[in-house]
Amino acid sequence: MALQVTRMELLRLRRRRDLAQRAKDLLEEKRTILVMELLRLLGEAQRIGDELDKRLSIAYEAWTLARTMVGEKALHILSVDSKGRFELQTSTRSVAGTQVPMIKLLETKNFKEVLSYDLVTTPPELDMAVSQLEEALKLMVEEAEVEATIKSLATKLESLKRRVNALEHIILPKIESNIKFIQDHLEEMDRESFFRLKRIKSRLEKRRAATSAMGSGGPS
Amino acid sequence: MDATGKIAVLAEEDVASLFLLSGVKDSFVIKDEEEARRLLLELSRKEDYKLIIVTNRIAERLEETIAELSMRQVFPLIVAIPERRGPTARRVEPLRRLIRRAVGFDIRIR
Repeated sequence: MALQVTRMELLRLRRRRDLAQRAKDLLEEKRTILVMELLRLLGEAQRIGDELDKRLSIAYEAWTLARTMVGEKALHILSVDSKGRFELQTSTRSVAGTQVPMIKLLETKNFKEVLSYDLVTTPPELDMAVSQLEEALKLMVEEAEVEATIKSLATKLESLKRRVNALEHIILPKIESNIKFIQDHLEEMDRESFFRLKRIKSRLEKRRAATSAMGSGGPS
Repeated sequence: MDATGKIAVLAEEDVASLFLLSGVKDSFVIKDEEEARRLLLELSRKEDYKLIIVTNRIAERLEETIAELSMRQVFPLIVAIPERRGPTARRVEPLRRLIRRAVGFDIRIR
């Protein structure tokens, strides 16, 4: 371990420690923000999920009724005729430094527009089924977005946790022990030079005392 | 970086037909697991499908495939829906577990 035992090095190490400490504090703040966002999103997911289940229940029930009323053949004709009328608009945004997906449902045509069947003969159950499914579809899109966001943020949170742990358990302790090492040695060096000076001083004094004694009692 | 995309549905016959009638053109009736997996992988490879809806039953049997796909790329998003009315398995539970794992045990609240 090539560590210079100098005051300069000590200063450098102290500065490094401050930086590492600041980095750790910042990362921990980011963690807190992410955790709060994740908890919020979890609540959203629950809310959306419940609403979605409800809509689908109604849609399915209406659909079952509609099928018995309209008859399979007619439904088949309707289905084959039906054109795609939904589109998705996707993009990404940044949340706490991570890219997170955004997705929106676009309705390009109205149900009535694409229906080539005579509207008067379609039962209200069919309309109900389709309109409830539309609502459910919007919720599915929302739910997909929330779930994907949660997954991205959870991954980010794990990496933050690793970095905080590395700083706390590896980097900072290492710097601290290096600081202590240098401090101890500098202290020892100081003490040595202090005592060396004392010794030299006392030797000088003894010599001075001896020469003055000799001087006064010199040859007459 | 806006993009447009399509929706696909993999479901049992009665659900797929409802989606089809409602205007989701790419609604596929799934009869067996292998077909579902093959279709899912094929759709995921295509750039233009951004959302794939599957029913819970299919999602359960393709759990690993879906998990792997979700890890690989963000899109297409895959979401599971119940295939019939009534209370369904809580969809939030796996998310809660994921969060608990990521959070670890020290949450500093300032």
